[in-house]
Amino acid sequence: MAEWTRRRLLATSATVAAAATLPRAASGQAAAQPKPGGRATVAMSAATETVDPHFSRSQVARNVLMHMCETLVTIDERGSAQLQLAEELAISPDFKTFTFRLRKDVPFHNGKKMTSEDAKRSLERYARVSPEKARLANVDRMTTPDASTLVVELKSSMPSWIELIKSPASPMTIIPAEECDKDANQVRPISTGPFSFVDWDGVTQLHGRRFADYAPNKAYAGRDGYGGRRQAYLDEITFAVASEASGRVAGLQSGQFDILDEVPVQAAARLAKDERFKIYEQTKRSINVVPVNVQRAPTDNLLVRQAIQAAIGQEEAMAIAAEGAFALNPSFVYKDSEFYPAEANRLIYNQNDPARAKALLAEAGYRGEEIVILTSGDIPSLQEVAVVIAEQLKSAGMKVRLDVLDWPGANARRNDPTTHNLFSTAYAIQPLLGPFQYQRLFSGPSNWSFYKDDKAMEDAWQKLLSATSKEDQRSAWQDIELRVNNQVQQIKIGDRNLNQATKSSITNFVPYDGIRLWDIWYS
Amino acid sequence: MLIYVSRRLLGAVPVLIMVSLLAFALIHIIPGDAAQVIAGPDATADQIASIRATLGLDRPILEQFLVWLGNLARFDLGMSFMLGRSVAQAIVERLPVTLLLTLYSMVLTVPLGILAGLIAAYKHNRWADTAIMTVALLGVSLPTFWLSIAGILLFSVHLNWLPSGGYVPPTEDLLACIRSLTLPALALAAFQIGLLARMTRATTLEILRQDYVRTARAKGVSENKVLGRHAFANVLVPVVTVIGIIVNVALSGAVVIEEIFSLPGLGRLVVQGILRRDYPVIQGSLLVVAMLMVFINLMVDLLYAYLDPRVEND
Amino acid sequence: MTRSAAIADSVAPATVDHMGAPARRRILSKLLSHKGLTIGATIVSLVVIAALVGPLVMQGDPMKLSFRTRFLPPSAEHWFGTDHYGRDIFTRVIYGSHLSLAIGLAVVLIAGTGGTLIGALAGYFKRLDAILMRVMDALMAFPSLMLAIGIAAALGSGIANVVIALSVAYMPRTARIVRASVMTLRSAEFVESARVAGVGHMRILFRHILPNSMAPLIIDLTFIFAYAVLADAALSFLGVGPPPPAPSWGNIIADGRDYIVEAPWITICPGIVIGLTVLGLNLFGDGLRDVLDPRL
Repeated sequence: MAEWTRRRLLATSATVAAAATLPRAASGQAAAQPKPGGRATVAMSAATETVDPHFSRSQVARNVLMHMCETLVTIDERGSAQLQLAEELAISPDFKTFTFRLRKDVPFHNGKKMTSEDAKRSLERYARVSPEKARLANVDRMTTPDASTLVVELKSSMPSWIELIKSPASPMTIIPAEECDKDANQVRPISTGPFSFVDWDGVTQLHGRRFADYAPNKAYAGRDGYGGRRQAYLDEITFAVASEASGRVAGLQSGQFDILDEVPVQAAARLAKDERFKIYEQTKRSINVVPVNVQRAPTDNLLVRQAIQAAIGQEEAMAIAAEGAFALNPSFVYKDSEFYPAEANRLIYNQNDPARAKALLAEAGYRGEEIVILTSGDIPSLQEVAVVIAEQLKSAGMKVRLDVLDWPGANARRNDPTTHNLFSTAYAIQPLLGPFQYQRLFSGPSNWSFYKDDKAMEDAWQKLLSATSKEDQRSAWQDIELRVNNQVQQIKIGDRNLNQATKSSITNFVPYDGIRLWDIWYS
Repeated sequence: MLIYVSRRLLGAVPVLIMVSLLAFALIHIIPGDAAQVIAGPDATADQIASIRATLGLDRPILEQFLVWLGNLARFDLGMSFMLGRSVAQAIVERLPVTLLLTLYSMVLTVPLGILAGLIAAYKHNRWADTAIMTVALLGVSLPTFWLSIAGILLFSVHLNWLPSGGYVPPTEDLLACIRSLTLPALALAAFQIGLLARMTRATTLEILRQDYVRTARAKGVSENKVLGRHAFANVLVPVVTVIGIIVNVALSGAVVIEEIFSLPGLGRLVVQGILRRDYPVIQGSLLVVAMLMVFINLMVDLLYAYLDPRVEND
Repeated sequence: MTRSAAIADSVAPATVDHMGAPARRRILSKLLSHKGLTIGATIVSLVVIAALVGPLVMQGDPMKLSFRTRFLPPSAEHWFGTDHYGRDIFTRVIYGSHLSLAIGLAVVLIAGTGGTLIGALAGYFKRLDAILMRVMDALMAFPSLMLAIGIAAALGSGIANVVIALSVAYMPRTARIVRASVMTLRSAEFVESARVAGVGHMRILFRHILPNSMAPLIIDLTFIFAYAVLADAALSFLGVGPPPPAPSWGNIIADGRDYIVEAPWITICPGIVIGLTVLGLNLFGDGLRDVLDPRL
């Protein structure tokens, strides 16, 4: 029996925790004693679409809900799986039986102690209402031998199942069993997190309060990703929506807000000069990508796709779209990911070579067929990437049209291969979580490039999914990245960083996937 | 009068049914639906289909409309797909913000607009007239959203007098509430004051030219009295009509203003509803907005009839 | 009542289309001597000239971007500065005037024609009145910008769709105005006599009544032009206007909204241009009303 125990998880997380504390020690705050109390208001650019954790899936939802919600398995600072409400996980050698031993004496916000029954019922509800219920599609049955043991038996062997359930996008939150009969979108985030949910006006304000009876996970030394040992110090937290960036900045200056998400680079530079504020660069927010439709002319021709790949200058696109706060990275996972391809230098990237593009177009027999770039104006950076690459393609002699819709409209059109050639979009959680989240984007019948069959690609995925060691997984993932790149099925643009700002008195804030209000305090 | 009112109210019913039909048709043409939004961009067709079924979006459109209409007959606007509450509750929560904003801007608009218009008419063709009319013209010419941004830049960023956005309910802190609505109300009022001042001036000039005023003047009645007693009452008639238009303008402007100043009002509810394809919310709030408009137009007409009895027999 | 249609025409109320040459000249001189109207006409003509001639004589490309020239403040080289793509704002504003005026004009034409047709039919044929005006009332029951956002969202991005959205939003307004004029003229003496003389309904409506009810419509269309320019900018600002990178005025301002503190010129310069243009249109409309509307 492969024991995936707390100790083994601790061993990996310890190094990460050390890395995370490094800047703290450097800035001399490590010595500061945490001080409980106070309230903080976070200004975000958009409102969450729901407060039902099982029904949620956006980054904004995560930003809010991860304060209240906890899961059996979560992710650490690098995006690797880490136990949270389970203290031990035993996986059978055939990768079909997963036995979770739950932590004891963990109370829900309603005062009730969590049991395996709650966990089982939560997973059952998740399988019913979540947009990500496919994660549990392979579950054969779940049993609860005792109040702190949950046994999940899968229909077929699945070595990477933990990789699916660790995701904080639509988190597999454990909620009280009595909540589990409610329909989708009807549940409030009553879970075991360090903050409890107070109210939400549905549009602009969401309130939370420190959960006095919170049971921190003593298996860990400190905060680590969404997991580790979490500790709330602030008494009250508010998530406010301020869609205008200038409004968020002005709100911080006037004292209305304490923490800002998504601060424009220029404003950040200005705020940085003011002693009252601190600026942070969030490096794991999202990556800009351009899936290429291989069905619609002219991008059905590999030579045209290669011409596009040659014409695009990722550096210029990112410099404008990310305001200079970006990292060039040809891979679809972050550079510190355990899956980062060893041979990333073989990926064609940041060419900005109109001459080569023109030669490829001539070879392809391109005669001015229109290339449609689909994007959404709701997210400025997506539109900005589209505008820049449109100009780059034009200077290589291509005829380009931009199709800009609102976010749902763009995504609806994205589904239809007859409408567009390129889609300027972003992946938010995938590069943090790693390869397995890319499965349905890169392969299978609903892949985003609309290829009909690509045996090399499907084989590589088979290899990845059946791999039982990290080495095999890494090598399979590298094959996938190379294949996506040389077939120009999806074009990686860059890693987009964002600036966040806090009042200087807020201590121990470290940017991550979402805003984390636990383990921070006012000095 | 009672017959008139009931006839008008009855006349509103087909309009409101038409409104619902239009709104329903409109929102279903918009590409993408709520299921798509909830499922997220990288969802599979199966996921979207299952959410669609959960929300009842897989049923024929006509059936959806009839169900909605049937619920409406029982005063039930349905549940929001995403707000975790009933549409009625969401509207009840947001309506006060829009109404307060409209009211605040009206409180600024009515006295200032009428006064400016009267002064301009009284000082016809003199410098005060020119000055007031130039400012009024600027008010109706500058884009509201541009004025809002300029206002934030000046009053929030540089002077730090007023908050740049957000809303405080009056029940929580009245002063903070007024402060939070001042910039938005000013931005909204700029256009309305301009409009009202221009209308007041035009009607006043027209009335001042009419025979009875000339007679009064000829009789040696002082200029102030002419303006005050004779003209003012008559000026009210068209001004009341203009206020109907202004409410329309205010509700239109609120869409943009609430977005810029992050106010949780009805305009934002509609816009966000559209952006998230939250059909019940769009349907419900558009209906409420339409009812509001119909009601205000009715009030305006009643007031009009009261001030000018000839209308009722029209 | 027995007079012929030809005679009836000569006793029609004094409006533009039925005036003799001296009357026309009198109106023209009135128009020319109206100060506001002259100023307005001058501003509008300047913008129109800039829109028509600008793109022909200007060297710059409104789409040319470079991250090296981002956020340059106004200077001799970049009169209005550059935006966050490094594009020259003055060039974009000039090209944008082309787009924004074209949209305004198209809205005026479509809303004017559609509204006139609907209003004329509703005003003349009592049976059509109920149905047509119910639809118009339903459209009027929405605040015009809300309606335009809904339509623009439904149709998707595109200049044509913005024109449709705004035209539908303003059509009820013109329909009402035309309907009111047609209803007053329907029972006018010269119309009655035409009817008695056996002239067909359509001919009466389009040859006799409509030309006589044009003045209030023309005045209102100037204001609709102004509103359309403002509304187009607002739609762009809300992200449902002409698709980027098209340099519509609203797009330019929307592009600058996140940088108002650091690069206020992106927002301020095009805002002033919009304000001036709309001001010119309003002055022009006011002047027309002063001169053409017999009540004043």
